[in-house]
Amino acid sequence: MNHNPIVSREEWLVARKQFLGKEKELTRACDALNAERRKLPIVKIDKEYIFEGPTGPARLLDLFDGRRQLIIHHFMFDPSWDEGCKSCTHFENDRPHLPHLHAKDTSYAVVSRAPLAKIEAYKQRMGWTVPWYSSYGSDFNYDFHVTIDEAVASVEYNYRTKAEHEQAGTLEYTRGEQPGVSVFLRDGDSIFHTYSTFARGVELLVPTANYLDLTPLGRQDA
Amino acid sequence: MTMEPHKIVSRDEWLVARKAHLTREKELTRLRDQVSAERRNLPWVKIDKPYVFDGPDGKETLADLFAGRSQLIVYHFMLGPEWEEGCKSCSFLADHIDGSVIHLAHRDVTFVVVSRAPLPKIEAFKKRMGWRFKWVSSHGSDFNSDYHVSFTKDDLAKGKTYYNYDLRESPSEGEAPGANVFYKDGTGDIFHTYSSYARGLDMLVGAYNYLDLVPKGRDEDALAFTMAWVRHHDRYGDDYFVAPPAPYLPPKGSDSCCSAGEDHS
Repeated sequence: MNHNPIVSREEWLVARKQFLGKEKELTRACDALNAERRKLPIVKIDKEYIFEGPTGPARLLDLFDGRRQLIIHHFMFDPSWDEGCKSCTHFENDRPHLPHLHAKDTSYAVVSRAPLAKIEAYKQRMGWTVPWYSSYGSDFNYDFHVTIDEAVASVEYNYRTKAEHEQAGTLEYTRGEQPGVSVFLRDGDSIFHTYSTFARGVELLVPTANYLDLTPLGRQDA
Repeated sequence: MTMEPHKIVSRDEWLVARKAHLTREKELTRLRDQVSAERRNLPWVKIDKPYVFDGPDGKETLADLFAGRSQLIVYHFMLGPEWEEGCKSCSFLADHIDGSVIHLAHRDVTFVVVSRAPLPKIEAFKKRMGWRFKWVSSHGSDFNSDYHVSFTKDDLAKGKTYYNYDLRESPSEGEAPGANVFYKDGTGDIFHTYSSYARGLDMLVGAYNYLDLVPKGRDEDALAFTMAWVRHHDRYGDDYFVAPPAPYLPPKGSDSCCSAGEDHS
């Protein structure tokens, strides 16, 4: 790559301080948007979802593991696949250290549509201990728009319809397994869906991408 | 726990609110992209001073730390020579490093952690925490002072120290968190491209990014400083819960608490 202008420390500092002002604006914009997110309305979940987990069948309520908040990573693993999606695997490699989330009353679980045996084999290969459940045979993935099948439900991914994806040239989002993160809140035995994010909204969670944003070459994915 | 009551609505109503919020999220994503692009256009400074570190395989120069790649990220982990354990807040960030290292390597980035404590102290703490990333000692080198993350007794005696591009009240613990980025070209010349401190490091903490998605958020407003709830990952209680008003214990050997997230915005 070509060098950026090479300058003295004093000159660099002038440019850096000016840029720091922009970074601080961005930090404050993030804070403001995060506050707005916490004010979104929530939806009560009345449907019973049953997953297969390491210790047998589990309800959505069980995935909270006694905590009030639950984050689910929708990991792309179609029942017909022999291994999990590479990007989702990268995402799981960057998973936050769970004790810190637990300290904030928040459980974290992974859900995929592949049968449990496939999930457990892949989990072992990756050396992970994260709670990972199968939604095989359940409506869960379809209801939360991370498995897209027009035969089951009309296309909705990242809050776009099929026609909107066609127009945007993102047809890859109109069928099959898709990445996402969903958030649930528990009040006693009542469960509420509070938030889901897809596509690039998921990417922001991964420290690797944020580290790359600090380097001269950036993410190099153009 | 503080949480505002949430309006409970139908899925259709939720979708309207969620889509409006999505538009705002997309605006912010694009703003981030733009700021990242501007960051890559910042000028660079050539580094002529030799720095030598103590690493697991012996003495290493700054050039050696690149390990054959052209880009180097250094995380300055607060672990002073007299401390018995590393800073809690830095440990929180460091809990997110191991997952990134291999992916960064495939994007021409080497990631190294640097602290001013002697190497044996670093290695003992690293073992306790179960981390695998490369961690070297800058003990006896000017590196930490030159990059404004360690302060000498003389610095501290002046009452103000230079941190995050400004003068601030001196941190009594003598160490501060930061990240530095370097580039090495084909001729072996090394350039300093970027430094970030304080809340500039927030986005590198994956757990924070997740907490920003949940109803309670980071839930830190009532705390003495933002990361007051954080413990070393092996120091949470059995049920993981921590009492938010509980006092924050300073790392042993430091003079005071390392309030890494405090008042730096």
